[in-house]
Amino acid sequence: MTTPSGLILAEQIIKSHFGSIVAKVCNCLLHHGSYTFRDVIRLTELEPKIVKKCLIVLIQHNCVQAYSLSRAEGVSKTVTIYMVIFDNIIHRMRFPKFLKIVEERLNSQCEVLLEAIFQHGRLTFEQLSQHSLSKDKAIDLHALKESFNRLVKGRYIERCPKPEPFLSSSAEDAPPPRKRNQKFVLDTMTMEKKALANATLSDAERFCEITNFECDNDTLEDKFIEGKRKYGSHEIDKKTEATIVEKEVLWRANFQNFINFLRAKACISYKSSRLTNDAGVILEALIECCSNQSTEMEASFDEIFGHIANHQAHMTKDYVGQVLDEIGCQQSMKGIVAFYTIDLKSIIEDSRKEEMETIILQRYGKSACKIFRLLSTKNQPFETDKISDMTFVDKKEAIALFYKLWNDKILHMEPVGSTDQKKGYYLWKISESASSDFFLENIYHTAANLNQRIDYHYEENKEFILLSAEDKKEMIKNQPERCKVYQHYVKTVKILETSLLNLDKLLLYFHDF
Amino acid sequence: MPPPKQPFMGFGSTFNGGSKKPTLKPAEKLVYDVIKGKGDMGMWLADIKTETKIPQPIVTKAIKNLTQYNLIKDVVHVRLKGRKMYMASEFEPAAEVSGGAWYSDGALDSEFVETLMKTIFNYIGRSNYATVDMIKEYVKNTGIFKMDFTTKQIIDILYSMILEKQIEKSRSNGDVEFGSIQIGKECYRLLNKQETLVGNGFTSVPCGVCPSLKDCSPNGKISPATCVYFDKWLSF
Ligand code: SF4
Repeated sequence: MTTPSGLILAEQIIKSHFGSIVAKVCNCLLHHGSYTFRDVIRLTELEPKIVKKCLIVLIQHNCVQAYSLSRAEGVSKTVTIYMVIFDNIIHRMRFPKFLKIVEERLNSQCEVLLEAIFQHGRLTFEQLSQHSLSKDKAIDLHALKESFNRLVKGRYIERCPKPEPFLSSSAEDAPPPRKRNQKFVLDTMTMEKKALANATLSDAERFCEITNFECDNDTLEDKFIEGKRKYGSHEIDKKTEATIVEKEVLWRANFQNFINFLRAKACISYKSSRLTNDAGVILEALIECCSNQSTEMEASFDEIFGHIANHQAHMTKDYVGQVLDEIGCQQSMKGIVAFYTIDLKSIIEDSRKEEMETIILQRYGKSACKIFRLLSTKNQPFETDKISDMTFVDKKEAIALFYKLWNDKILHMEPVGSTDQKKGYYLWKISESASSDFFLENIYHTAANLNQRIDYHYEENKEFILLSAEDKKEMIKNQPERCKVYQHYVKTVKILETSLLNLDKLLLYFHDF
Repeated sequence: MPPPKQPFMGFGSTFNGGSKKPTLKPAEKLVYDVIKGKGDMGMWLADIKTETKIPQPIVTKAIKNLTQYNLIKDVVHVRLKGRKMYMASEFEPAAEVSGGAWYSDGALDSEFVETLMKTIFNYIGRSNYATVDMIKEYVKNTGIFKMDFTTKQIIDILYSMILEKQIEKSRSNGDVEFGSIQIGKECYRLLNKQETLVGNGFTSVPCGVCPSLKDCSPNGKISPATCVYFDKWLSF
């Protein structure tokens, strides 16, 4: 799910990371959906060679997934379709956040490895090792392999999905003769989902750690080439074969794992601030005890308590049980073992509601916030006067607010009874699409605005920024005021970038969690 | 609740200080009758003209006199404050007209509501927990308010305070802090974290509170590159 401003933001990100030509190709896919190579050429009016290069860059960086489709039933020829993965584009602005997570939870070497993966999109372990060697000749390759495996084990990185899964265009996928356009859009969407599902490897494959990799870098390369020359590819021994296979495996970041981690963190901090710090600690223990990747968390009381006892000796069993209830966990018995369950989605829902209220409060004022709160808690439509009576908002003021909130697609209005203004009345409720139409769209819009403002300041100072260090010094010597302007630029961009990261917290709430 | 603006004193009681009922001219009588016929709903000036079929200047004159005789009064409609509405003096405007018990002169008496909320807030704060009955009793005993509140009115105001995140509902479990409140009885307490005006990542940047957000675009007339709000925000 995205919105018009979401697409603008995605295009801006691609433009600033890969330049305007790649952005043009990406934009074409973003706005028009999945396309064949020919279609992209036709729509972008770029040379085939260039389009090809752009698509390769986008695939390399996990922003586009290709899949092939048979042209028609019974025909063996296939066509390759390219689809854009919107979420992966937006994740690109979260790289600093993701790196920090790995640095905190694993170690700085893992962070460096992940950074290289972010820089290159997809890499084999060999390429990664070479990359690390090029930065530090004395690097310990065994330790590097260990760090790499920690990233895999923690599911921060994964083996890349299949490059081009095949989808058969069976009769049920084919659009029916009527309502072709509408159905085609639906079909493309289901196709895209299917393609993504088909491309994904099984969990066992995705997170299979490397074991056979030869770590002595000097000899590895020679052995490998020699083996191939000497025996031919069908004669090489099992170990070398496994090494060759492993050498070719491409790895990439597993964004979903980072999102899961950020979601858990958001829930913990929400409960700490709304209840007590202990509530945060106890929820964290529950989450840490669960290895599942979904939002449903379940652990036995003993596991949770054991986890807490290791860190927070002062909590008693009674107290932990009581706080688990306060957090909103459901208790159940399996035999004689007590289990606690919570769906993080419910905490996110409460938290999202509060973020919405904050936005309404600041944009439309206290009365509007009361009205919004009433309608969202009661979750049913109310008549104009009734709302005004329940919220103690003056009837005239309420009507003006209703109009504003309705105009911004936050409220839905339903006229009831006579159309005569004096006799009929209106029912109001929170619009079902408010979350995406108003909140998400405006957050994307603001993010795009911040991005554009960063670009604007960059362009303004580009001449100076691009100077060599020496030329910069020279210029500052001749024009000392230039230095001040530059310092102001640095501060400005810092503020804008920090704001963008803060704003991203809301994007996560409204889109990713 | 403030008292009605012009309390009805009885016919002629204030008319020229005398006690006699004024003799009405036929037009005045007609106008008075149609207005009185509408009871506590009152009547718009335009409707009086249509219904009596009397020319405008005569209606205007009749209304002026009837008002002077204290037989009718003008009232403010809660929705349409700009239009003239009249009612026979012996009636109090219906809730649809006045806006209900919390309204005075066609507008919500916010000062009154605020004072009541503050009184209740302080009381709950002092007692930790309080039931509706305790609150109602306390409000009555303060003597600040000239009216007796019904339980429903107190519940309404408490709900509004919940919506403002001042208080929350709770249930007594018999612990000391609940005082003498029976176990299981519904009561109210102050909310731990009061609403603060701290924004979030959206409202703390200019666009988050900007009225032009909808019309702002990279190449538009209003654009982030030329935005004065940004200029101001980033001028340090
Ligand atoms: S850039 Fe400026 S004008 Fe545009 S939405 Fe933001 S604050 Fe408003």
